[in-house]
Parts: sequence; structure tokens; C-alpha cells
Amino acid sequence: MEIIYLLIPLSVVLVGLIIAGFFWAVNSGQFDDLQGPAYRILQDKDELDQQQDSDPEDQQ
Amino acid sequence: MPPNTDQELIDCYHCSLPVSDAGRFQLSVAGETRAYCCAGCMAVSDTINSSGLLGYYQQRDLPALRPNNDAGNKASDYHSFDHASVQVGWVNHNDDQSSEANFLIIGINCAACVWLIETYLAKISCIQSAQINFSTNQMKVVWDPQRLKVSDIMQAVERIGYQAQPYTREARFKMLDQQRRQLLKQLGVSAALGMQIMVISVGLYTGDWYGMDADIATFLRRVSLLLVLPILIYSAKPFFRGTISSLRSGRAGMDVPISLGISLAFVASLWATIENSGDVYFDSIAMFVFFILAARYIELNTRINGSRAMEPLTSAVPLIADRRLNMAGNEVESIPVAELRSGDLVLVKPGAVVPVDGTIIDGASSFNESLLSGESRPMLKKPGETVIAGSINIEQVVTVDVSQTGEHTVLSSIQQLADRASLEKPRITRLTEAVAGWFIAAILFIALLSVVFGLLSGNPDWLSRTIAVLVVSCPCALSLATPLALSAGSSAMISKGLFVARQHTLETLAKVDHLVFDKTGTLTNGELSLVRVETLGALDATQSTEIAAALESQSNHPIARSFMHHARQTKTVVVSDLKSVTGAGVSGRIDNTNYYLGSAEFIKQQNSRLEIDPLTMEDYFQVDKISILLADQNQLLAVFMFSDEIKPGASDLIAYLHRQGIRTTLLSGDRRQLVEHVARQLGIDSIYAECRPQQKAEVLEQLIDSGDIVAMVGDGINDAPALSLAHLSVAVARDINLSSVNADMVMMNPHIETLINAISQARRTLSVIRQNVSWALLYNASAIPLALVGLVPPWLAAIGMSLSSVVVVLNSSRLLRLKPVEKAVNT
Repeated sequence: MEIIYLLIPLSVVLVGLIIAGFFWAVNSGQFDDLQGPAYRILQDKDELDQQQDSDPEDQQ
Repeated sequence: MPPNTDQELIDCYHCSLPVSDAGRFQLSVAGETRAYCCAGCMAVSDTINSSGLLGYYQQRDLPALRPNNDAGNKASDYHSFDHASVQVGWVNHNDDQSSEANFLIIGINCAACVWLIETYLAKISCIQSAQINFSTNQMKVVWDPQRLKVSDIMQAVERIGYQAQPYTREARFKMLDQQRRQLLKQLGVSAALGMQIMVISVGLYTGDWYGMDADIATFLRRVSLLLVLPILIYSAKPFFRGTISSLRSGRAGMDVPISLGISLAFVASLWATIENSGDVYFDSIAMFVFFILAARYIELNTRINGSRAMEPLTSAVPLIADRRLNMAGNEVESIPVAELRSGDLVLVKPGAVVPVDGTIIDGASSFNESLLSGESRPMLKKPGETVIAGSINIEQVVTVDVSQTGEHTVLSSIQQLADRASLEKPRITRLTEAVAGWFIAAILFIALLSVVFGLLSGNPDWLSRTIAVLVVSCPCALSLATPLALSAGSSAMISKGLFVARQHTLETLAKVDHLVFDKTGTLTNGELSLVRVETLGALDATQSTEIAAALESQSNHPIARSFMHHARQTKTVVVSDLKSVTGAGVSGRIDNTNYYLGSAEFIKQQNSRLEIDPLTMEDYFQVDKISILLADQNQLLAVFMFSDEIKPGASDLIAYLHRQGIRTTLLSGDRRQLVEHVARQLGIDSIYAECRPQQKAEVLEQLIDSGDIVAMVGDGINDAPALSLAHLSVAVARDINLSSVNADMVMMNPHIETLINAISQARRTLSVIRQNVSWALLYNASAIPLALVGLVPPWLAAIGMSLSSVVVVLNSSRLLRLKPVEKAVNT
């Protein structure tokens, strides 16, 4: 069972990294909008490619 | 073809409002002919279609709000936003030659709107990115300032039917956001470390049962101790802070037993770890801290969302004003409103929002003050009278002598009141907090008893029992019970376009037993439409309508706008000598003939030779219609009848209210006959007609004195005395300019019948709150005695405490879906 003397400290280091990552995400605003991205994934932007002939600026 | 009243109603393809004249605005969209209610909707839909974004119509779950560029061809003037002095605070210039601007978008009501705006803007070549935060409706645009101006972006947004307003983040919101992030980080730390501690604890418990090497047990305990330290120092900081402040003020807050439980458990565990004997409670500490922080986080979010609902109000006043350089000349300069001083002279154009409080010194016009008084009828104002920031100038150019600007205006003081109210805690939350307060005092007392009793009786278990009591009795289910249910209840309502702006809204709405409609316009479409044309002379209906539309083409009056809807596809008629008398009528010359359009009195005044026979006229001047006459020099030509039709869902709503035992009252400033007419059609219980705001307030006072819980439904930003008296005020945002409201609840769609959803949802929410609170109390009442007699070890206490919270969470999440409303049974 001596292996846990290695594995547990390793997991503690991992948790440290996870928390660091989480802090980065919060500070960079990843958690500011919790509703929009859920929909965004469903709205593909494929239509953009088919419609390159109509640039909205030209219509003005 | 003259429009007639009995044709089948079609809904506008864009905004779903009923179309009064189906043939007038039509477009061929993806092979099908679609009808629109107005030129504005048609123009927006045309833009969406030609940009290849028709996916919007398939994806949206709510109809769009009617765009406010009413005539469709008259784009708003955003050029003043290109001044550098106005861009302070919301436009930033990046190092890489790009600029970044923050906007608040008005008119977003579903996720498809976000997609539409982002995709449309992304197609404009100079825009690098456009991102909208769906929760807050803020948009960040990065673009190339060399090739595109800020005003172009705002105009692009307007073309697809929304409004972009400059967004300067207030310090208050910055603070709340920081608080939210801080809490989220504390929550994350306790969750991540807590899970580690749990894993280790499982090992320790199994070791207790099956046996474990003493070395490994010691090692695991020490690792747990290490892991719990950040939770104690970082995550639990709010509890210790709260304890200190509540001890200072001498009250037993919820933080006191939390801190006490945590500290006691930690000291005992620390001792056990050092001495290598006794139990450790690190897992209990971590779980405990995590669950309480989660409850706090949810509650803070609800409060932030509530106060955000008020934000658009700040943007009601323009940032730019036209200052007159001197009284004599007509020269003006654009100047930021913030730089105006008392005594400056400001020019206010028709259709513009008055930027300041002040006195009219030149010109007369009518003003829509619905933003402040809720009265949607234009108020005629002459030189010497005062105008208020936020009101809309309807007819003529006026010059205003500035008296107050910025935060000293009447509008601003209303906003401050609204802000304050939105940050208040709801009464029902305060109530459960008060209960929790007593509860906590009782727990502390019981814990103390258990210590004393344990020491006296020499029971070695006393420490474990005391910790169990403190942990098991944590009132977190109790404290979660209300905020969770409120937050779930109101977020489901947003999907129906119902925005809960205040904390007490749902609670009050569930108890309402008397609904007052503050004006006839709430139950009608709120817009005059031309329903009938009668010809009296030589011209046919189409010719008369064209002439009338040409005469009204320069006016901004509601009647004129209704004509505009009918005149778009006709050839241009040139009018000369156009004269208008505010509030009475217009006259002008077309093809060498003088035409007069207006009330009967106006026609008589203008041309006394004309005979107006009162008997024939009687037929045309009906109760629920507004009629105006068209005449030339020699004869009367036509009568135009305008009417404000009753909304389709209104009768469903009234029927539902009566079934639920809610009384209805129509409290209106309109003519008695009109009010009676509407009330009779809908079956409203009682009416008060021709009421001035003060009288409305008196009526409401009587209702409240008689013990009714009164909700008032209106359609604007209201500070009318009556609305502030009502227990609950509901605003129906008619067009996107008025989306900003000083009300407890805002309906962001024109379908009045969604109030049915609101009431049923509010009642469900209240009953879920009651279930949650009774469950939490029941759990605590049974768990504490068990812990006291030593039947609950601390680890079981932590699990029980968490499970009781999970029950509350699950029960509240039932509210996330709206219950379908049963259809009206025909009686």
C-alpha cells in the first residue's frame, strides 16, 4: 500500500491545478453568462457560408 | 379597398400582433406570402430575409417585439454617438487598431434573438466580433474604427429590429459582479477540496471497519487536515466575517452556529490528528461549507438579476442634446447631456426624448409622459410649462430652458428608488431568516446543554454529540427553501416573456385577490388603427385615404402613424402650405385644392361655409371610436374612424381570473362610454371611468383599506400615486422604448393572457416554498433529538444535513417548468 504515499500527494497537486484552472475561468468571465452558450451550441453558423453573396453592408 | 372591421385576424409574421389590414404589408419570404402589421416589422423582416437569416423565425420561441422605427424608412439618428466626448466609458481603443464598445441591447427575448444579432453583425466585414451575454443582454463589439463608425453598428442593430444603447457599467454592478465571482471561487475551492476529503474519508471509514495500518490512517488524516485548511481560511471566510459582525451588533445570525460548528469540529479534529486518537470531522466541515455557500450563491444571483431588470431605465434619457448657441439664431451644437448646465437652452425635436428637466420657452407641443406618470395620452405644453426628462416630444420643435440635469431629474430619483427596492430582500426571505435566527439561538442553547450534560455525566461522547447537533441542525435547508424556489419560479417565467423585477413579486402575486387594470389601453392593442372609411363626397375611399395620409405625413401623432401604415404603397402626393394646429387638425394644399383634416370643430373653424349635419354625424361618432373628418373648400369628403381593438387574449384572462376568485376592476382615465363598452365586452366586475391620477389613487386606497390584495396592471413606467399604492404593479411593455419599467413585474410581450401563467406559477412557487419550509423544520425537529442522544455520528449528521438540502433543491426544480394552463371552459 506504499503507493498511496505517492498517489495521494499527486491527487493533491491535481486538485491544486484544477482550482487554479477554475480561478482562471472565473476571472476571465467564463461563468458570467450561464444561459447563452447552452443555446449557442444548437445554432450552427453554417448558413453564413451559403450566404456570402449578400453582405448586409451592401444593402444600405 | 377600405379596411373593414369584420375580417379575420392574422398575426404579423414578425411580431405576432394582429394585422389590421392584411393586404397592406406583404412580403414574399422563402416562397410564401407573409403579412405584417406595420412597415417597421416588414422592413426588419425584409432585412432578415435578404441576409439569409430566416433561421431566426424557426428557432425563436417568442415573437419579436415590434420595432420602433415605425415608418420603416426613417432610421434613428445615431451620429451624435460618434463624438469622442460621448464615448467615454463605453468605447475603448485597443492597441491593435481595433475598438471595443459595450452596448445594452433592448428587445432580446429569446436565444434566437442573440443568434440573429450576432450573426448579422458578424457578416459586416469590419466587425471582428460581436458577443452578447444572454443573461444580461449586454453586447461587446470589436471592430475596425477606421472603416466603420459606432453609429453604423447601432444602425445595423436597428435594421433587424433591436436597439443598441451605450452601456456604461455602474460601480454598483461592478461591485455585485465582483462579489459574485468571489463567492463562486470560494464555492469552487470548497467543492474541489471537499471531494478530495470525501475520498480520503471513505478510506478512513472503511479502515475503521476492516482495520487499517496506523501509519496510513495517520497519513490520511494529515492530508485531510492539509486539504481542509484552504476551505477554512478561504471558503469559510464569509461565515467568520458574518459572525464577527453579528456578535458586534449583538444578534444571533445564521453565521454564528455555522462558525461555531466549523471551529469546534476543526479544533477537535486537529487535536485528534496531532494526538493520533479520537475522530476527525474534516469531511463534515467541507460538506457543510460547500452547501451553505451554494445557497448563498443562488440567493446572490437572484438579487443581481432582480436589480438588472431596472437597468434599461438608466438608458431612457439620451446622451446627446442640441444646445442653442444663442436665442436669436437657429444655430445649435451637439453636446453631451452631462455637460449641460442649468440655464442652457436645448432644442428638442419631435420624436426625441427630452434630455433634461426644464421649462419651455419657445414653441408648443404635446409630450408623452407615460414614462413618469403612466398617462399615455399626450399632454399639451405651452411656453412657461415644465417638461420632464424622459418624456417624448410628439409634435413640434421646442426650446427648453434647462433647470435640472442628470441625477437631479425627476426620472433619476425614480430610478434611485427602484434600485433601492430591487436590492431589498423579499419579505418571505426575511421571515424565514428571522425564524432561522430564533432557531439558531435554540440550537446554540441545546449544544451548550449537551456539553454541560456530557461533562457532568462523564460521557466521553460529548464532543461528537455536540458537533453532531451543530451540524445536523444547520438550517441550510431552511435557508435554501425560499431563495431556490423563488429563483426557479421566476426563471421559468422569463421563458414566457415575464420578467420578475422585484423580490416580493411572486409571493404577492400568488395572494392577489383583486386585479386592477390601470387603463383601457392595457386590454386593447394600445394603438389606433383605421377601421372604417366612409365617403361623403366626390372622392372614393382610397383617394381620401391617400390625401389624408399626405396631410399627416409630417406629423408624429398616433392618428398620423395609423395613416402612414396605410399609405406606404401609394404614389407620393406633394403637399404645400401644410399647417397644423396642435391637438385639432391639419390643412394643406394638394393640386390647387385646399384640404382640411381634423375634428368637426376644426373643420368648422377653418371653413365656416361647410355644413356639418349633426344627425348624419351621430352614426359616425361612436363610443369606442375616434372619428376625424376630411373636407375640401366646398364639401365634406370622408370620415375616418379609428379604434383601439381589444386584445385577443383579454377575455381568456378575465375568465381565468374570475374562475380563480380574483375580482377585476377597470380604472381608466378614458370617457365613461368607452370604458363601459370595453368592460361589458370582457365582463369586468367594476369600473371607474374618467379618473385623474389622484382619483385613481383614492380608489386604490379604498380597495386596499377594504382588505383586498391589489395588483395593478399598467403599460408604462409608472410613478403614478396609484401604482405605488398597489401591493403589486405589473407593467405591460408595449414597445421596446418602454421596456424599462419601475414595476414589480414586466411583461415583455403583448399577450396579456400570459398573466394567467404568471399567476398560476406564482401560486405554485408559494406552495413549493411552504413545502420546503415545512420539510426543513420537520427534518430539524426530528434530527436534533436523535443527535442529542448520540444516535447520529457527525458523518451521518453531515449526510443528513445534505440530503435535507437535496430534497429542497429537487422540490424547487419542479418549478423550472411552467405548468400548462388549462384552457377556458366555455360557459
